[in-house]
Amino acid sequence: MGIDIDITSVSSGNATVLIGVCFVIVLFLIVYETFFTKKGKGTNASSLSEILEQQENPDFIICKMIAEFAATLAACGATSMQVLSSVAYLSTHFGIHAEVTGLPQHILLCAVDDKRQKTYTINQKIKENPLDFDRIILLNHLAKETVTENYSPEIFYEKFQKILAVKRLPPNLVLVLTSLANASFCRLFNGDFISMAIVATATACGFYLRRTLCSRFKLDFRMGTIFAATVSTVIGTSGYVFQIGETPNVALATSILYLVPGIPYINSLSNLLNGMFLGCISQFFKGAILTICLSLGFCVGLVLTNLHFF
Amino acid sequence: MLLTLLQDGFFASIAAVGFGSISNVPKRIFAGCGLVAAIGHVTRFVLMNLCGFHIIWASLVAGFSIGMFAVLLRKVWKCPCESLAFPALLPMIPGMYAYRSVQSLILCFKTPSDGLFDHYIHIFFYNFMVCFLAILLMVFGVTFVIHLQKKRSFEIKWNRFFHKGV
Repeated sequence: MGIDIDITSVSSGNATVLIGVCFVIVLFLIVYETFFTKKGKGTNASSLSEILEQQENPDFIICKMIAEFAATLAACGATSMQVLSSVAYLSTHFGIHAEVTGLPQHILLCAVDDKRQKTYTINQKIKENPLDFDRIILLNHLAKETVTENYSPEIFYEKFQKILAVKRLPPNLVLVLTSLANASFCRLFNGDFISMAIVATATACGFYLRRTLCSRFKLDFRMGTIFAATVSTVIGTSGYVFQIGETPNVALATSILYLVPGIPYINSLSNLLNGMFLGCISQFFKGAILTICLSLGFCVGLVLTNLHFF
Repeated sequence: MLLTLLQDGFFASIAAVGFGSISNVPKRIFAGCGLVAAIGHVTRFVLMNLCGFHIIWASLVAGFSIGMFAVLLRKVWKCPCESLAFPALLPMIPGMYAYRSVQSLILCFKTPSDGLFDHYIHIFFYNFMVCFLAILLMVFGVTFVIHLQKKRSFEIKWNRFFHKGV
């Protein structure tokens, strides 16, 4: 029940030239990023006093803070259960009765004050943000710490802003770790060491391309995924093109697997099992769109290298 | 055999840390993620290669083991269970099945004859279902354990809070 690859079709195409072109593009981007781009400035976080100026009702400010907190957690890729439990801690501590609903693009917070006289509904936009486990951990700690240390809203908001300012892992370290991870993945599928080297190279080039296109050239993340998958597939065919290694099929298959959006799928199923169906559908489609993009890039790579399955 | 198991665990832990770094897993829990991933992957490897389990059932048991170790080790690394367990699940995603699904789908569109189309559709559905069920069950395994732990810990905290209030 297997599918194999027609090696003669690869050698009749322009695969060698294309592999060279991919390396040249990545090299050009490295040079461009090193010499011709300036680092962007960080945005200043708004303080609680600014919010106080806008609205003098303290309960409203607390609701707004909790909604912002929940939206940040959701944007970082936390599961709906994590968002709900953190909101439960905060709302109990600050003396309001809050219910939060996770929508695909927004967080809807409905709250009643302790005397049950006023109700508040806040619709907080979930900002586009890459997955960030570090921030999720810090925000979870903050929610619990706020209860145990009895923080006032001012201290809570100050600490929240400090967490938002924490930097991510160095991009080049992530690049190296991802390449090693995908090479290890290749080994787990019984790939040999040459295949591992091909996969590491394909991953490094594809990952760097996507990162540069999305951050420096502000290209859409989905388009970036298509380009990255194409470049990784073209480089991943090296095993067939140069006839090196014993497992070129594993190298080709593994070269794009770093693009599989594992966390959205896991979050989706986790939400499904916890009964958060809206969150489940939203996360599933996020993952599915990226999977379609990487499959598209993979197909383009195969067409370009003239590689045929049979 | 022991060397094979160690090798499997070692590469699984590197894969977990590397894929986790894309999601900005903090450096201080790299070791925890690696350890949990190694335990999960070795469990699945043993079940599949020594006990003859299918990948779907092996993934379920591996999911349970990842969940349990994430719950046990969360206090050592001071982080939520999900932060240890979810990156550890990433090397267990059955990538080859996903790849074969895409491969057979491409062939479905290219094939001229009905017989071959049926054959490739069969390969597509088989690989897709195995991939989907393996992911579903391993996430179920992890979520089930984490859910039980959270429910218990939340009840304890809530009772403490309630009695303090009274």
